[in-house]
Amino acid sequence: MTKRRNRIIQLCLTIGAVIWIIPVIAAIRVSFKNGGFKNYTDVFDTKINNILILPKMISNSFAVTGGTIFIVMVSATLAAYAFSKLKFKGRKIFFVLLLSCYAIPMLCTLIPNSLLIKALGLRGSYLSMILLLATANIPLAILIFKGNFDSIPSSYLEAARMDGCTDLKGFLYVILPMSKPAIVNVLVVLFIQVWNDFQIPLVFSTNPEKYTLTLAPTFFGLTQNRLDLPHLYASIVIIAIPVVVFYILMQDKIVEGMSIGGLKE
Amino acid sequence: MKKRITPYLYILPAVLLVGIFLIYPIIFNLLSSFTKWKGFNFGKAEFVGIKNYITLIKDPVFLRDLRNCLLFMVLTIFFQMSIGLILTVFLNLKLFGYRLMETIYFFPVVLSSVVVGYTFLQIFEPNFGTLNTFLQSVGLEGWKRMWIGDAKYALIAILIANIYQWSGMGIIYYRAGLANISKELYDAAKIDGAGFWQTFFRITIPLLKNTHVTILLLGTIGCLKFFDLAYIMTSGGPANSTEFPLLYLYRKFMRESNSGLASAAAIVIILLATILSIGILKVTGNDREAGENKYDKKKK
Repeated sequence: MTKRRNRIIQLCLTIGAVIWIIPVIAAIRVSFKNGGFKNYTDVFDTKINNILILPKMISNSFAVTGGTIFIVMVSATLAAYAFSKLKFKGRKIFFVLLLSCYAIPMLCTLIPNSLLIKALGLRGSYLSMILLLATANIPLAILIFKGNFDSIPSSYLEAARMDGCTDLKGFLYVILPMSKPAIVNVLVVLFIQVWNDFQIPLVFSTNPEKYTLTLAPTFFGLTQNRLDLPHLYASIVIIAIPVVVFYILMQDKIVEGMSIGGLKE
Repeated sequence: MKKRITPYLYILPAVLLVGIFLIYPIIFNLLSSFTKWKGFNFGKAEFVGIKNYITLIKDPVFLRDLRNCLLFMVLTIFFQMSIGLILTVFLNLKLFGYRLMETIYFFPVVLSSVVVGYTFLQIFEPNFGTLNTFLQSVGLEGWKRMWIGDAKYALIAILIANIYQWSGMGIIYYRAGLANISKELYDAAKIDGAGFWQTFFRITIPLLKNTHVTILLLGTIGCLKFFDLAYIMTSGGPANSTEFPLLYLYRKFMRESNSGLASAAAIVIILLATILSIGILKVTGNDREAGENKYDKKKK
């Protein structure tokens, strides 16, 4: 009985998995249409103003993702430390205020932020994308870090304070080293979210030289104003490769990190 | 004295960023939503009271966008929960090859919606897309449709892409929830002679309540934030049949430079997001947010 049931379940899971893979195979197949592997070299060889545009987009993506991760990590760990371990007036209000921003879609701030970015002279810069992406990701990062810092007994910090440790040193030498797993979790999730983001680059990167990789399809999809599917899908496969490699290497960490985001909600 | 200021310095970077790029824009939106304002120059905006909001609720396109959004919430969350829960329980039996299957089912979660969107665009392509080619080859030519180009099916096509992208997330949440249920419960149920499905309905589903709430909450917020797939696959077409509130906002501002009306749309979306989030947390009695988590209580 159990054996037969398991066999049916096994069959369902396999059929599901095959369905799950079909879209991927379909996309890869189209990317080789007409030119074969040449579609890929074409995409890599495309130049704008004498710059190889795809490698440029890849480096743009790294710059934006790196900058965003740096800002989020620094500001979120510091804030979470204060909310978790320091006492001050308005602690709860600030915390709720920051967290409630999680539900707000970033595109709702499109108009004022366009004006603001222009007024700050940041139009079309990496920094404009970095600042907005960081803002969008800070609330969740604070939530995860605060949950983690809360689980570290305050007695460790008190002991350090007895030895003359300041708040900052307590943060750097007590809290952070004890939070390595949480830091790794937030890092991997941030990398995926920021790397994959489409809306902020769509609105705020004004010329192809500042495009991140997620904008590549809109760029390669048209050749001389005609829809060019093979090159489009070659670029799709190329932008998927970094995250897929990252996913295969870090699957457990990624899954763990993403589930924390849900549990702490 | 020093002691009193330092905590604020710690939260300063986060508060500054969120204050400047999220809270200030919301206040600005609120103000500009009461003005007639075209394009970029706010100096030329004139106060018109709630006229934009009236235009908005009288606009059949915006109402349809809200309906689309609601439909997406119900269906996406339903499928995320049902597919997620069933797959989690099945995978949890740890049958042959379950690790590989997990890898496959989670996989779309890490893909950019750009990749998922274009991939499904190719599946639903009318002439040589995967779906129509398949229907042709199994002799179901009569079932072939324009899919993306047909107002009746375009929304379903986007919905399927959305479900594909996010079902894995359901598994991830349920798997974490399942790990928190003590194994003894299942052993006891087994001794009492409960079958597989009985255990599933009597133990697994009720005890995963917190996970259900999480998925409900994140799914609701996610559908209000829904933009990428619709923008990539149909840009809201054909004839606005697949438009969503954020696409409406984007179109009004970027293409028609009707900034006043777009601001009003932004305020409506923000209000909905806030009301729905609070509503879900209140109705389900789940007040875990706002620093009231278990660690906090222990400390006090």
